[in-house]
Amino acid sequence: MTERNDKVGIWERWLSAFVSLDRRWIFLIVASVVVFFLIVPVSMPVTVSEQVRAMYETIEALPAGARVHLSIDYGPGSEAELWPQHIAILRQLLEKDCKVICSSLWTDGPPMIEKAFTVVVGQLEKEGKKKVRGVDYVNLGFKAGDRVAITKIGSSFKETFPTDYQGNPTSALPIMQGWDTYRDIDLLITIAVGDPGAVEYIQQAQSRYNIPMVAGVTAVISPQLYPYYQSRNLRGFLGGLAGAAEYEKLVGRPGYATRGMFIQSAVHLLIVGLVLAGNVAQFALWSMRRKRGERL
Amino acid sequence: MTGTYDPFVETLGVWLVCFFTLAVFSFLYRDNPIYKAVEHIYVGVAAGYYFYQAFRGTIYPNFVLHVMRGTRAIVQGQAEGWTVHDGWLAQWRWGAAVLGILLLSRLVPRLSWLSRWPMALVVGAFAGLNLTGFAKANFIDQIAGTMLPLAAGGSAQALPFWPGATAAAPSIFNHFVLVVGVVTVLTYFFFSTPRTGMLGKMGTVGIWFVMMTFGATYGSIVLARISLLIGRATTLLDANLPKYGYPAYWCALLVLLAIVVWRLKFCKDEQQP
Repeated sequence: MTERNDKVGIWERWLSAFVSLDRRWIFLIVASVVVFFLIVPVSMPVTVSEQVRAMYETIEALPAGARVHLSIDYGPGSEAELWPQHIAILRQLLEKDCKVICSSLWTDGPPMIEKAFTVVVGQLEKEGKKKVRGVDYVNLGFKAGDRVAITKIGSSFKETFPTDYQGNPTSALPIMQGWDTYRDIDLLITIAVGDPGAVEYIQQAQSRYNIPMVAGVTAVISPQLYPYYQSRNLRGFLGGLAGAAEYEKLVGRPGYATRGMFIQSAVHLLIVGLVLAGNVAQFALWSMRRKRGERL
Repeated sequence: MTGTYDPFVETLGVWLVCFFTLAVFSFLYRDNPIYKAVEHIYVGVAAGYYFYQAFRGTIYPNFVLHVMRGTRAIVQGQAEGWTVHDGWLAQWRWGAAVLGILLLSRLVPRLSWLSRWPMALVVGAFAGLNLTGFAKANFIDQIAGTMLPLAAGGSAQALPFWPGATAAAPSIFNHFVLVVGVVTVLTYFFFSTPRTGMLGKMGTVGIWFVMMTFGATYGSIVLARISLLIGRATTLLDANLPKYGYPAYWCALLVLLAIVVWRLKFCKDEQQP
């Protein structure tokens, strides 16, 4: 009897320690898993979802010379999720000889636009495809005003952005000749982290001008976009790192997002395991205490 | 790091990235002076940066340049393709500038009432824009998107588990789930009559749909946060190169030492039982 009580005591002590585990141990375990799989990369199959394929096909269907407004509405804080999307989409657009007109509703967006142009245009130049600023692509910079700015952009790009990010008059740029409003745009793309972002563009630009639109967003935002995809306001969208990995698979250039997918899955399994183990331990503890006649 | 930078500037940037990342992570242990200092630096830099971008991106091109060009057109009779008439038209932007300045009157309690005028304009414009945009995208289009055929699906796949079917592809099953979800959730939020009988049962189904949505959203949030952690860890590992002098190791050691010293020197009272 004493031995049994001791055994129960040990279990109870273990379970008590587990359910009241300092959360910093969990932070440490999660960080260790992330660092371990970054050092020891493991690949995993990526299945392309319907909305990601729809986005890819929408961009693939664009003819050479199509005008695309690419609104970069994120900053370095969301780089982990949105940078792989940004690079994959920009490269696909420039490879298809689309005219890429970039702008941002976020103050930290223009440097991200510049950084992406530096990377992608540099890659294409190495492959013998020269792209010229002001002819094939342009960075119009940041514009304050949120929804008002979106509406204003729709009615006149040149009035909303009198100069580009480098300070050149937009009316003098070859890429800006012969058009000025959303009615002249073939596709609207936003890569967005929050408000203003995809939802605001749908409300103020897509539904107002009835232009085709796709979006790349963080995983936090992606559940909000399913209704717009269902109602065809969006032709397709990418959600977070998973969306980026799927897109990398479609464009045939696995990169940072694909590398991160196994790590993400491993951490998810760890979190699910901890949630389950925590609940099981708590119920077992209650059961033990109830058997001893303790009030919970 | 991308682009071409001076090697010293690049190395300094990499060291700052490593130090600030690890200093912010130190908050996971507990609030500490290193974290506080970095937080204050971030707020200061962000405020300055936002002001600069707002001036460069909006105030300068949309106000200063226009007014200057307009003034030149008025004085010279014509400037850069603008006539005197265009020049006078550009001067209305002074009105916007004055309204913008009036917003700052909140800083002076005696004059703070002046800020109500531009605020009224902002609220009115936002309300008007939101109403039209919201009505179309979030109301009309969503109702149209919910009017789905239940008898014959948009594709040959009647069930989501049919060979070749995907979860997001149109199917009778998906349409059914969507319509049931919309109707029951709307029932749950129908407060005009007591939710008893059939209405109560539908409301219960509705709350299950709402809970599943919360679960999916929570899952997405975890997904996003882990992605951010992977991003920072990748940055640290990619920056931790011999050519930069292994900044991640040194910065980690520095942050760790600072926290140990702070704990031993300044938190003695907390260590006592």
